[in-house]
Amino acid sequence: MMEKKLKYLLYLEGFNDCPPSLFKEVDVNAYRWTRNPVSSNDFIPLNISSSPPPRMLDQSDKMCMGYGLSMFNTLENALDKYKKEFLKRRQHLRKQFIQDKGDFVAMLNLSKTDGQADEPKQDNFGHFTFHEYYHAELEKKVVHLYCIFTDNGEFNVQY
Amino acid sequence: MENLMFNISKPLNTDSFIRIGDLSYFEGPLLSLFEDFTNGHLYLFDWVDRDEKSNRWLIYRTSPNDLLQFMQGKLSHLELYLNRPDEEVFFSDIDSKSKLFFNHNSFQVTNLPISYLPLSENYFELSDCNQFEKIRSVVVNLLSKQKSKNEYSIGYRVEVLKSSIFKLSSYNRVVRKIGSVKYEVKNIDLYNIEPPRNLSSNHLKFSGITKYVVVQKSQTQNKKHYANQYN
Repeated sequence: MMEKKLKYLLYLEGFNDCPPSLFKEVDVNAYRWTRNPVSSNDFIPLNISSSPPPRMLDQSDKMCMGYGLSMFNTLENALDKYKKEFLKRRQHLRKQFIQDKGDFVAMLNLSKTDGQADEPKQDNFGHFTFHEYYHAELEKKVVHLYCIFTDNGEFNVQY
Repeated sequence: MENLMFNISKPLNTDSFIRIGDLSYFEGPLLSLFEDFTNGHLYLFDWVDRDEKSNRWLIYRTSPNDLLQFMQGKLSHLELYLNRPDEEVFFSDIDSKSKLFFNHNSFQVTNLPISYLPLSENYFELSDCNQFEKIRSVVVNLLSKQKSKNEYSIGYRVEVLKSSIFKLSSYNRVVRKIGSVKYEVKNIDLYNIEPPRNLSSNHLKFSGITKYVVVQKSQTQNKKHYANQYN
C-alpha cells in the first residue's frame, strides 16, 4: 500500500493545522482548469510555482491553501467561475489569465489515495482545495478535457 | 508589463499602512484596502499587471463614503477610481520574494496607460470579498466620525526627540491603539518645516509644529491639533 504522505509537507508543517482537520480523502469526479495537453505543470500549487509570481502583499497572503490545488465539483461550476474571473480582468490580464490557467477544463477521477479535499463551497461555484499525497500523479487521473473557448474566441456554451 | 512613466521625486510612504482586508480575492488579492494610520486615509491596492517576477499594483485613495457605495453596488470599480479624493495615483512592483508591500518603492504615475483603468462593468461582489464584515465595520466607523465633509477631528501628539527628529503619534481606529512614526527634518529651518511626505498638506497641524518648535524650544509637550481628514 502506498504511503499517504502529503506533498510539500515541509511547507505545510509551517502552518498550524494544515491542511485543516476538516479535509478528508475523497472519491469523486473533480474539475480543474488546465492546458491541453495536460501535464504535471497543470498541478503545481500557487505557492510553489514561481511563474506567474504569486500575488502577495504581506505574509498573510502565504496561506496553507496556497499549497493545495483549486478544483470544482461540477463542469458547469468550473466553466462559470472561469468566465467570471476572465471577464473581471482588464483586457491585457485576460490574455495572461489564459496563459496561466489554460483554456481547458479537465475532469479528474480522484480517489482516496490521491489526497485530501475540503467541502465544495456552494457560495463560491463549488470550489474546493485539494492537497495531494506525495505519490499522486494527477495528470494521469484526467479522464476528459473540455474546451472553454470556441474557435472564434467565444465561450463554449455547448456543455 | 507596460512601461510606466513615473515621478521618482514623488514617492508614497507606505510604512504606516495597515491592511484592512481584500475587496476582491481569488488565489491572492486583486483589490485590497489599506488605512494610513497617521491620518485615517483609505488607500486601495489595485492589481493591474505582472511579468515573470513581479506583480504591479496601482495605489490610490478612496473615501469611506465612496467605498461604502461601491460595497453596496452603487458605484462601479471605474467610478470608485474616478471619484478618488486625491488625483495622484501611485504604483508599486512587488515581487514574491520579500513579501511585504512596504519594502517596495511606490512612486507617482505621471501617465497612466488606458489599459490600467478599472472596468466600468466591474462591480463589487460579496463572494469575492474575504473580510466583508471587517471592512464594512471599519468604513462605517470612519464614516460615523465624519459628521460632515469638512469635519475636523483626530488629535495626536508631536514629540521633538532631537533638534531634527520628530515623533508623530496618532490614533489607529482599527486596532484602537496609538501608533507613531519618527521622521527626520534635514537642514532644519524652524520657520519652514516640511511635513512628512505621507501626510496631506491640508493638515493644519504643521503650522502648529513650527510654532511649537520655535516657542517651546524643543521641549516635549502634548498638543492637540485639528485636521480635515476627509477631503
